[in-house]
Amino acid sequence: MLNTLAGIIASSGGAVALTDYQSIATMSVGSGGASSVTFSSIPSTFTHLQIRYTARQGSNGAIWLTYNSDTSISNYAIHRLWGDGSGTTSQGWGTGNFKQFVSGIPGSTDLANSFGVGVIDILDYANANKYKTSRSLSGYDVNGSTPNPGQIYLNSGLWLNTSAISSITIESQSANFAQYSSFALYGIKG
Amino acid sequence: MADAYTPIATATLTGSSTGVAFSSIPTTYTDLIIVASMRSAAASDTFNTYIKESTYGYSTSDYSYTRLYGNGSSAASNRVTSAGNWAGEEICPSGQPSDARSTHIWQINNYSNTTTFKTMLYRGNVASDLVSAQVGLWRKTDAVTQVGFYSGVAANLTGTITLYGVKSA
Repeated sequence: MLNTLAGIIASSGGAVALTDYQSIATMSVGSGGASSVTFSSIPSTFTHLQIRYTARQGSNGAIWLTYNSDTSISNYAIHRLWGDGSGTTSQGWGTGNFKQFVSGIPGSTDLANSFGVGVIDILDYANANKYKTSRSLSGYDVNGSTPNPGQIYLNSGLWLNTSAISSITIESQSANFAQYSSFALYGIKG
Repeated sequence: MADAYTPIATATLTGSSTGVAFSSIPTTYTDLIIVASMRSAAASDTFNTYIKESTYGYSTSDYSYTRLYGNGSSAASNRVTSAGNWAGEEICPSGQPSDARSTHIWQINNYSNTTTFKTMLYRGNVASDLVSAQVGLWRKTDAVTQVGFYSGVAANLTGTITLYGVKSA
């Protein structure tokens, strides 16, 4: 498993499992594409949720999240810090602008076979006494090719609703998610 | 529900080697996560990260990456294309207190598929100097079976690095 080099003490831990991080469901996009994927009937037995994705869409654009089928932009806000390889931008949008922004991802005019990736953490999602906050690290790189050379994002999002999150929809801004896109939902126990 | 986060292997570097490679990575997981706490013997050092190429100094042009970082006074973003590895991420330098370490987390999603190029996410912290994030592309459709992490200046490293597998349902 491990190349043992000089000065390295190696150990293999393959038999050990961390039981507090569990897979809930996975959505994979087939050859027909999909404009969105939805995780529904999310159990309330975890403390936090994590979504890990690999995605591409028909044209370059963004990924959005909505919770519990709430598509009203008046209930979502975000701050983000992002870089495009030459400059950085810090932005904040209050409610009334967007659904829960996650990231830009490559599209059909971008480098073939390239996909965006991201990790989204939704903290204390089942608590019915407060608004829900998320954070994410996401982006894509296409070796500097045009028209969209790549972006990296650090985001914080807010859903202004106290309901426990029982469903999450991930949607493509501008075109269907492409084949081989996949979205996996995990639960983390406290 | 299945347990989904599994340690695959851990290496402890004791200050007499310049890096480590994890090889023969099983294809049974969905994503890979590599977590390191590290210190370099050099006054200035960065990680060179390779897929497949496990020997320090081996170079191809299959890698590119876009970075976002801040050093306490300003933030910046840069991109490197057609590179020989993923690089640029600082390791705790020798001038810091002896117990200081930098932290590094690499994530390679969907690493074992043989259809798409592989994209990597990185977050790093060197408390004395900067925080950084990186997204990297490896322009190969091969499954990832090996990843290597080496000092960018061939300096000896001290710390731990652990490879985890994340498995989706």
